[in-house]
Amino acid sequence: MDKNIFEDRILDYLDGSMDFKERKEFESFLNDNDSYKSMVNDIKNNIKLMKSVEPLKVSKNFEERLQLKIESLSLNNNDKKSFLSSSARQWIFSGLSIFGILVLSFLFFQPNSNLVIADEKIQNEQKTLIESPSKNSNDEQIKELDQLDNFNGSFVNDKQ
Amino acid sequence: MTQSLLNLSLKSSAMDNPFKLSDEKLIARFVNGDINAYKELVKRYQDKLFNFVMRYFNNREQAEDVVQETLIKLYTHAHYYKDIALFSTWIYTIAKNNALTELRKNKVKKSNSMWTDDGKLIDIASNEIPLDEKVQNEIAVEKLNKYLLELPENFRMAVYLRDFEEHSYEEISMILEIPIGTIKSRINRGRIMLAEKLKSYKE
Repeated sequence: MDKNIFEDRILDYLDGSMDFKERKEFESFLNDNDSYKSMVNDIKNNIKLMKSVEPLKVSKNFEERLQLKIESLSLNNNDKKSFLSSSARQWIFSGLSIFGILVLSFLFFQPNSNLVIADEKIQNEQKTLIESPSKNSNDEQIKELDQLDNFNGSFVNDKQ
Repeated sequence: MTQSLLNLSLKSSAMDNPFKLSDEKLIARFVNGDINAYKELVKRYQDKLFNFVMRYFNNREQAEDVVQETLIKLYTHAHYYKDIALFSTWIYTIAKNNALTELRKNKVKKSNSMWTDDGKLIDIASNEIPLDEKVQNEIAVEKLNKYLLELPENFRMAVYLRDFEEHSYEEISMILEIPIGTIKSRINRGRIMLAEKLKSYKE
């Protein structure tokens, strides 16, 4: 077995994920090669040792320090919130001021605006009359013309 | 989440049997405002994360700072946790990212010293201790830690998570954000490198 192939298979061997045939083949290879066998044993022992290591513990004041940090963080957040609310107040104040100015401007210029609207209305009516005179007005015009003709006729007859 | 951490000793009735609750249930409770759930998570993970981060730094103070930063992130960003992954995977990933950020900020000089169980740094080479079995074992552990630190980071963290913390390959893959095949290869290679270093030390 090639060294690289052997090394690649150590993990599977130690995990017990080889099938029976593969395991037997691997073990017979180990029995024939003392240096490889010793390497696998060393790895096994190291793993055992690593599992037995007592974990380190954080300092006694760790939780206390964490608590202080979190509390200061909360305070900062509150400061930030109050800052935000004051800036929000500034925005609202500015907005209201602008709105007030607009309302005042509208009230101040309102008469002129009405005049403009009235002018527009008159112009529209005139336009309507010129572009599309109503049937009634046509009839009236015809009537007037007829009356004028009649008048002219009667005037001529009188003369004769 | 504006709860105060004051009155740490107080426990809500829901936390009477905290060990019955999974990490995932605890974080769900914390998101819903139960500060005791957060405290329980801190208790469960502070040492684990500390041991994990120590493998990046070999510096107690820096490692504790990183763990604190991680636990603060848990406090402020708990609602970001999604139930699709194990809580442990999520929190280890945050700790790893914090550690890597910190490492980038200040490149820590490699030390020849090693720590003792109570966190004091000692120089193993200068210590001539009577070699009874217990001490021999302690020295073996210290040597193991020392040589583990000498491994390249990629191999070291994979071996640590597998052999010290006994995480599954899937979890390690998620924590380190590396495919499972690569993780297995790194663990295998890391173990071989460690064995070779320890062998040369014994000889």
